[in-house]
Amino acid sequence: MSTPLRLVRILPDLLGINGSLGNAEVLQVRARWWSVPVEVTDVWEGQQLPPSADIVLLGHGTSSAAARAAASIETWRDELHSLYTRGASVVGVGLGGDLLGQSLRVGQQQLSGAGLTPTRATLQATKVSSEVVGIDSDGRAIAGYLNDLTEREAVSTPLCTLQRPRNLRDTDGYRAERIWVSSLSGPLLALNPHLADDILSTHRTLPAPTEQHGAADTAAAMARAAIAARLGA
Amino acid sequence: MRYRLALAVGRLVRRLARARGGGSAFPGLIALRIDPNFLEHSIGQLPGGVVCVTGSNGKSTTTSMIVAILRGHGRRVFTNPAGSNLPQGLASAVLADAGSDGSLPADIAVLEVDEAYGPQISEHIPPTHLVVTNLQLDQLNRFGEPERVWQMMRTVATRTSESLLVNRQEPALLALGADLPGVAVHSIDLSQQVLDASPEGLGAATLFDERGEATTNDPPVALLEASDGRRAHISVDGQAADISLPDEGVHWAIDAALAVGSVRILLGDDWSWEVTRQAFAALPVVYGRGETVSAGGVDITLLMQKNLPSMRANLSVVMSQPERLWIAVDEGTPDPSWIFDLDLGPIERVDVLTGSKAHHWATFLAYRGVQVGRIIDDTADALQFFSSSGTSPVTAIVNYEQMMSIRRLVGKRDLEAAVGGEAA
Repeated sequence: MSTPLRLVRILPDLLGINGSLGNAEVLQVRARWWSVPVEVTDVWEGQQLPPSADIVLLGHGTSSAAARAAASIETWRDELHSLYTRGASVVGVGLGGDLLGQSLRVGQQQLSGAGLTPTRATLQATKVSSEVVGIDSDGRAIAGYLNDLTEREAVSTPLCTLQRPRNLRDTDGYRAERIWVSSLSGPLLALNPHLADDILSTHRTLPAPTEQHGAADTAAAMARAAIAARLGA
Repeated sequence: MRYRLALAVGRLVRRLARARGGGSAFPGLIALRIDPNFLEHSIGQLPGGVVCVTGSNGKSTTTSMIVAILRGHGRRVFTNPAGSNLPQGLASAVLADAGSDGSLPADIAVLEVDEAYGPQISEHIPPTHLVVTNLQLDQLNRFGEPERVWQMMRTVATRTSESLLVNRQEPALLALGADLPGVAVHSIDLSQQVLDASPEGLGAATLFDERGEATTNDPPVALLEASDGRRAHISVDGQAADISLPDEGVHWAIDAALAVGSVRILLGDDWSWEVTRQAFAALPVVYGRGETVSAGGVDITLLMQKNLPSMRANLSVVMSQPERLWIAVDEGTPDPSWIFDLDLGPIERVDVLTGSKAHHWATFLAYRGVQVGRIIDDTADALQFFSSSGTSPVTAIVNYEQMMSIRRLVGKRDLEAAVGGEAA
């Protein structure tokens, strides 16, 4: 039996809406399909982060959750940096992704982020709602749904370039060595399982896909194709 | 003068629309174009005022219950057809009901009002009484987040003149009543037994600030003591009674408690438990909510969902694997990401997935280890498959648009005629 993959979900009550915790589920299930045991730890307000982890995941939340989540993340700032420098992957979706950045403005409030990414964001500056398709830096297709109330300063290494709809946004997210940030729901990793495997392969050598991976990935490819067709891509 | 013209032209357009085979919100739109104050000039003139019912889920049900109880008490009620909850829908309903002199033959209006259109509608016809059913995580693609919906509801609350009624188990709704001069804030409550029977919660959106901590010490106007299948046990003024519900599920019982509480506030001492019980006993099945339609001799029970809370409410009554299960979801649910937040309970097999979101669902079900029989993109083809491949009943989990398609395909056009495909 191999050692378990340690997955940490940060503030799942505040940062866990619109299926964003499904990203953790996708990582967990795909690992299990490869017979990799997974240990999931939820960390709530007032608790300590575990001393080590393989993957840290923050999901999406609403504006009234932002201040409370930011306050917790500020107390965990050093621990999050320490986990990252010691090899953990960090995945942030929606508000969770914004809180990994430098700052988040909500109304008159300026909140500090974890400082793991260069992002500066303003919540409720815009409202974008649309299916989107694009490509990541390796030229692979990306699809999802953008339900976003946030405006962000441009970053030099986005997760993906958006191709459709035109004139919506040029890019989405942020990508660095072991950091994946996105605003896309879907959830992101379910619709784009190659990203899930990028994250998992940082911590395990992945064997050939199983039949279960094949079925899930075929369904996801069909879902992406359907979105692309609707957007005329 | 403008009102009379709007009424005349709107009615003409309505007759033409109906002659072409259906109802529509279009005549109402025309009437509003001619007289932007069309709603004030009609609904706004009723002597008993306007009861607005809004919320994320349960608007149609609660409205129909309030209307039935009031009519049972002999009140003449103007209302809008279920789901026809935008301004043009209200105007179309006026065109259907107004007399030759332009007045509505009613004492009071009870209106289902879409959350997003609440501010616009209440600007024209400020509510006398406001009932807010719930605030849930709903259609992020449309609203962005529940905080925005709360603000819309608050705008309507600030225009309300007499009373606000909410479920006190939703602190954010109690917070809607803060600092409303002259408005009595009432609430219903749920017993611990009812709360314990819903371990996943009631789907209320949590607002993580002071709005999420509002409380009240006032006694509830109605208490939902128990909910069991299609029965609810509700007490008012210390008197309890059993009432029958249109279908199973605690959400029906909560809607019923809100309706009973609302009419108790409206009628005061004229309110009667006996009349209320009779009104519930005579309530028809609400379309799409546990309604069974027949296709080629096969019974298809429609469970309509539009968001995570309504899906959870539907799944809560699915106690075992349905004999045949059909999930049909299309672009009416643009972002179905929330399905990953579902507990599928006893569901181990879905026989058919239909609609433009079928592959999205197939992806989700793959991660849950749920077997999928086949994907049939087209609703008519899927219906044909079920009616030609067996006689056992079908449970269909559908969104609003697919529900309308299925009803149309099996020859039920009554709802289309009433709503005009307008619901939000």
